[in-house]
Parts: sequence; structure tokens; C-alpha cells
Amino acid sequence: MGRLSIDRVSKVFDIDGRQVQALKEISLELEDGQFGALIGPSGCGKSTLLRMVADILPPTSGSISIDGAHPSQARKDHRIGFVFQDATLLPWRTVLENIRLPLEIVAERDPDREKLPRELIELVGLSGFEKAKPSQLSGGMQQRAAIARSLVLSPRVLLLDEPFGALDDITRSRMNLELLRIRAETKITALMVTHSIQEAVFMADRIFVLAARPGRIADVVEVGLDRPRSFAQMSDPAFTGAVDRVRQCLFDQQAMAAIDV
Amino acid sequence: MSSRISNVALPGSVFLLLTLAFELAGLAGLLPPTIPRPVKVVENMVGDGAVLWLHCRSTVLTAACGYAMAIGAAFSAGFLVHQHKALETAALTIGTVLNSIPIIAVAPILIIWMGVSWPMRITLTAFLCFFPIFVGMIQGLGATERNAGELFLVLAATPAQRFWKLALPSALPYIFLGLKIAAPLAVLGALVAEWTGTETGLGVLMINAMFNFQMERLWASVLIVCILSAGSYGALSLIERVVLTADRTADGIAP
Repeated sequence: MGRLSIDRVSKVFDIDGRQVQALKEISLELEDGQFGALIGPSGCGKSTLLRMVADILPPTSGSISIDGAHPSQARKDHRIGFVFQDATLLPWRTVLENIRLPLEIVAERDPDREKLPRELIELVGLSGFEKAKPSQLSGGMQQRAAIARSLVLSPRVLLLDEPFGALDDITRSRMNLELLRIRAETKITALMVTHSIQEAVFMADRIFVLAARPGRIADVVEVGLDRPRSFAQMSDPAFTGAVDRVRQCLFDQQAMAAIDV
Repeated sequence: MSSRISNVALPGSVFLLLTLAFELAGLAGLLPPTIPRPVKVVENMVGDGAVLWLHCRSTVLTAACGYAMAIGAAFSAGFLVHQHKALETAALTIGTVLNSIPIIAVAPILIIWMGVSWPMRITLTAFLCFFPIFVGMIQGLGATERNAGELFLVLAATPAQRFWKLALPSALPYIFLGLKIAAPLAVLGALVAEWTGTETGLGVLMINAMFNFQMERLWASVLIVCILSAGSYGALSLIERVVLTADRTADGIAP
């Protein structure tokens, strides 16, 4: 349960009649409960890959499976949670109403599930803000609400598209810890797009480093740090080693690109 | 707050000064007979109150029914276009063509079909109001944020859920813009319909006053029409302010 498998997935976009290969033969695996990070230069197709897993975009070739099911099936069964870079809360709804939205969509009258939004509000630390409108919240609080909303239907896989990219460093670090705590409590499998090497290493069990044009996997880095993670581990040789390896890989690409030019 | 006061105070005092100027000019005998003194117009409004009220009621009824009919039609068309995106261009083209027909040219056709009747008056009014509401509707429904659309996709929402829970609420600032433009048009539509020869309505009153050279009554009915037009616009702005919180009118489009 919660297994994500991407097998030789390619994506070609047709831009004004010109074929642009965004992603080429991407393969990756995440075991149940694992945390994966996608990192790479801008325009390498990280978000595209995430959207294909969520069945927002179809792959041109290759296959994706979530617990052995096709993404469209997984999406219809509400096994996918998605967190966008901007919180994408509906401005006319309160925090609680935003978090309840997925329940309204499945139109389920399960009393156990009706309790979930309030529990999740507590889990993401937004107690007392149930009746606030999104515009009254800070960026970090909005993103907490978005995370709570993504968890309300108890998905098996959580996809995060640079969820903390717009936040300041302090808020971002705090949100990283929060997300790890939430993940530990929900045992959810997660795949997160990020631009921060530190964030990737701190959060993930497995980091997929992407290269651009066409987007492809340049390296897979296993992070052998114990959980629960803490900031103290950031001086651990395993942490710095992983950071160095990811950085090395990203900079090698840049050097290659420079030679190309 | 001070700017809000001056927003009302400035045009208000200009209006009052103009009225006063006309009154003084009238008393000095400088006004032509076609321009009555403001005081005379007000006197007429009081004296002719019963007649004016009767005709005003008729006009308001036509305008309100036509406006409601236009909202219903624009709403239904908007829903259809939202559910079937392929219809959008066709619907907008047809709408634009219909809108380019002068309202005065539509009236004879409607009279042939319906006679000089209440249905004709209401339909003519609705015809005039439809387009701005419809365009606001289509623009608003198309202005949904991309990520929000993707969110509803990931949630496997039905097209109807997408309409009611996402597209319609996010379209509201645009819809209100259309509603505000259409409100004075409803009054105009009612007047045009009345000019075609109905028995009641401010339009009829104006025509009769014109032919009988009843200047005070003519100006009084024009004044009432102005109040109706501006009032309907103002009322909608108030409703908009209640329905949409301040942050939404600001981030959408200029109110």
C-alpha cells in the first residue's frame, strides 16, 4: 500500500507544432511510507512529472502505478493528495470550509470522516483559525491549511510541488519539521519537488536528482539518516555527504551545460 | 474615509449649485419655456404624485421582470457554455451579433410576435440586459485560477461540482460587473418598450408630456428615470459589497 512506481515515463509537449521533449525515460520507485524528493534545475520537468503521477497530465509513453493502479484510477479513488506551490485555497471559504472541500466533493456522509477536518486542523497546528479566511493567514499558515486539505480523504500518496518555495527560511524549516511529523503520524508515501538541497536531504529517504533538456534522472541518492529527523543531524557526516553528492551532481550538469553553449 | 466623503460631497455640491443656478436663472426670467425651474419640477412631482407613481410602478415592474429574465437566460447559457467549452466561441459570436442589433429595431419584430403587451415589454428589456450579464458570466467562468482547476481535477470533482463550488464563486466579481452594467439598461429597455405604444409607464408619460408641452411633468419623469437608473446601479454595488469581501473585489477586477 502506498507504493509508487514510475516506469520509463517520457513526456513530449507540442509547442506551436514543435516537439519538445520535457522528460525522457524516467524510472523511479518509492516503497510504502517512503519520502522521495525530486530536485533539479528549473525547467527540468519536475512539476510535469508530479502532474503525471496525479493524472493531471498524461505521459507520452511509459507507465505510472500507485499501489499497482493506474493514476486515473488512483485519482478517482482519492488515493492521491496534492499540495501546490501556492496554497490554492478558495478565498471565499473559511479555513475549515476549505479543508472540508474534498469531503463535499466525495459527498460522503461518513460520520467518522466528518470529524477529520477538525483533527487535521489540530495536526497542522491551525487550531483557533477554523473560521479565518485565507487572506487573513500568513503564507505558512495557508500552506498548512492546504496540507490538511490534501490529507482529508486519507490518500496513500502525497504529492508536493515545491510546497514551501514561497516561504521565508525560518518558516520553511518549521514547516519541514511539521511535514515530517505529519508524515510519521499518517505513514503516507510522499514525493516532493524542491529547489533546496538541504530541504531534500533533511526530508527524504531517497532523492532523485534530475538533469534538464531533456529531463532525466541523473542520480539517485539514498539518505541514510535515522528518523525522526532533527536539525542536529545537519552536521552528521551522512547529511553533509548527501548534500555534497546532490550538489556535485547538479553542478556537473551546469558545467556540462556551459560546455554545450 | 475623508476621500469617501469628498467622493460624495464634491459631485453632490456641484449638482446642488447647478440646481440653484437654474432656479435663480428661472426666477430672473432667463430660462426658455422648455426648461422649467427646479422648484416647479418638484412641485409637479408632488402634485402629480399619484399619476407618476402609477406609471413609475409599471416601468419598474417591466425593468425588474426583464432584468430577472436576462439573468435567468445568461445564467443558463453560461452554465451550458461552462459544461461544453466548445460552445463558447459560438455563443459569444451569436451574442455579439444579437447585441449589435439596435434595440429600437428589435421592438417591431417583438410586437409582430407578441403584440404590444407585457410579454413584449419584458422580453425587449431582457434582450437589452442579456449581453453584459452573459459576457461577465463567460469571462468570469473562464477566469478560474489554473491551480484551483487542477485541485478539482485531482479531487475527481464532477463538472457540476466544478461549476457550483469553483467556477461560479470565482466568477462573481465579473458577474457583478455585468449586473451593474445591465441594471440601467433594464430601465432603458422598459422605456423603449413603452414608447412603442403601451398604456402605462414613464416612457408613455414622457411622450404624452412632450406632445402636450407639459414641461414640468416631462422633466419630472426624466428625473425619476435618472433616479431609477442610478439607484439600481447603486443598489447592486451595495449588494456586491456585502456578497464579496473587500479582498476579492480588489484582486479580481476594478469594482
